Amino acid sequence: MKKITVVLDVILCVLSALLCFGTKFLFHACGPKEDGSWMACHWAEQAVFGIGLVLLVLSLVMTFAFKDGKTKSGIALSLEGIAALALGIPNHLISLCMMNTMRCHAVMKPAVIVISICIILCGMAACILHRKEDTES
Amino acid sequence: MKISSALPLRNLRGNPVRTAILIFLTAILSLMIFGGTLMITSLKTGLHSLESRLGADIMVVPYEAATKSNLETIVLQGATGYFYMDEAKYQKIASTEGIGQISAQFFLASASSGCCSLSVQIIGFDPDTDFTITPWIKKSYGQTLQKYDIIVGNDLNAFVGDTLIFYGVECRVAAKLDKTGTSFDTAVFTNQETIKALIQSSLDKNMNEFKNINPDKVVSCVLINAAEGYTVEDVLNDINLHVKKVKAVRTKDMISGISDSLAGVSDIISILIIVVWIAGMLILLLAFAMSISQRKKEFAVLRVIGASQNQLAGIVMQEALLLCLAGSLMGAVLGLLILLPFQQVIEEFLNLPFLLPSAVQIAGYVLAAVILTILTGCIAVSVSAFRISRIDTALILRGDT
Repeated sequence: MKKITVVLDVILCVLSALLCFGTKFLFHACGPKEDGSWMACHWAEQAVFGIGLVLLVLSLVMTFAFKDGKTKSGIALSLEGIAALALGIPNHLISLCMMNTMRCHAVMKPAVIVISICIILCGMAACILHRKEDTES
Repeated sequence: MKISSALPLRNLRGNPVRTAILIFLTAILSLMIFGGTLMITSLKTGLHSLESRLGADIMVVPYEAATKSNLETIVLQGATGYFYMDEAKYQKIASTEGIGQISAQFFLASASSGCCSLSVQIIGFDPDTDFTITPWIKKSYGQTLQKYDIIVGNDLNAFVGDTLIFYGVECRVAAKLDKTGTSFDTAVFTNQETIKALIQSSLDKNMNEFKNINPDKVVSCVLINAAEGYTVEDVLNDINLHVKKVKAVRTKDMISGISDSLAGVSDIISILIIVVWIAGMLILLLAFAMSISQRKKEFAVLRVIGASQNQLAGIVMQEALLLCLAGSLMGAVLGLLILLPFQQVIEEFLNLPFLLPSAVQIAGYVLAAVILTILTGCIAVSVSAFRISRIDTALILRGDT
């Protein structure tokens, strides 16, 4: 059980880092316009970056700072909620560009959706297993 | 002897590394079968969608438009552009013998600057004569389009009731079309009254490449269906011979390049599926054989305490079944997570029409991939199961393999 929870914690750290830095450097939104101004999708990218940073800090804290199962379970639960918020950012809470063929729709949005879903699922598993671990100990 | 039904599961949990590797292998197999099949189907659905959207036998365009090859980029690849010819040409084409249905279309490309909400291809049609766009627009919008009403393609991030501005003219989104997987997904459709007003506005703002045209006296292209008793070739040749400065093109010829590319991609994917399936089958065969071989003593002990040959084979088969079920489901889920959200990227990468089939069809492919992977795993393990059921217990326990 211990091994699985450690693996899950590390996976959550990696996914959070991917959401945070990936949104900024790998699957970023559309670039600036010719006049240098930004389209709406840029602010969605910034928001996801910020949320990713929070997720990364929390998952690192969960993995390395606490040993108590209940605390870890609580943090894992909060990760799920924050990842759900990230999931809602592109095109729901913050509008993206007008055409679905543009980079923000074609690359950033699906990447954020897939990573957020993975964080939610891993967070759910981590929450249950840490709780179980705590009860067993 | 009665063996606990949980034994195969406990065996798998007892060696997590071996279990993880075998699940990974079956997941790859399932991913390839499901992903490959879905890709091929989506490409075929996309081509079929494009064929039905073109919907006419012949397209007549100004000669310069056909020779500059911007016709295909506008009609098939979604590039924005426009060209015009005199309406008199339309009248002359209409008088050609052998024409069953005929309708004119009007093109205009909006600009990306401040006068327009976005840069898109605007296609105007005559609702009274149109036979290509109206049939599939009717599926999304059953009413008559009013002046300044527009219908947007599925890939535009605009919704019913929104207002889009083109050349300073406010247009109301009356409907949004279903996904077609073609360049029409990024186009805007409207009636001829509206598009003529938009062309006039672009002329007024000095933003139209054609400076001296009268929007009421021009058309962009003419779509034709041959009448019964006449071949498409006859009508096409007749127009090309008798109407000057226009070019009649067979729509089937326009998409022949796409059909060829699609056939090539489909063949590659099909070969890849077969190669991966055969390789997967061999790898699973070896993996199960090695795994079972390492566990000969474990099975010999079970045999000594009273397990029958069939029970040993049953344990091995159940383990394979559980592994393949988990792996195939994981592979199918992974395939869904890659193909569904990233379909736009795939479409752009392949540069071919790409339209995912219905949810029911996708569920069918998931089920088929899971069943095929489980069958492959079971066939691969059956050799090992047969061998383990025939082991010589005494030899194994003596340490003589």
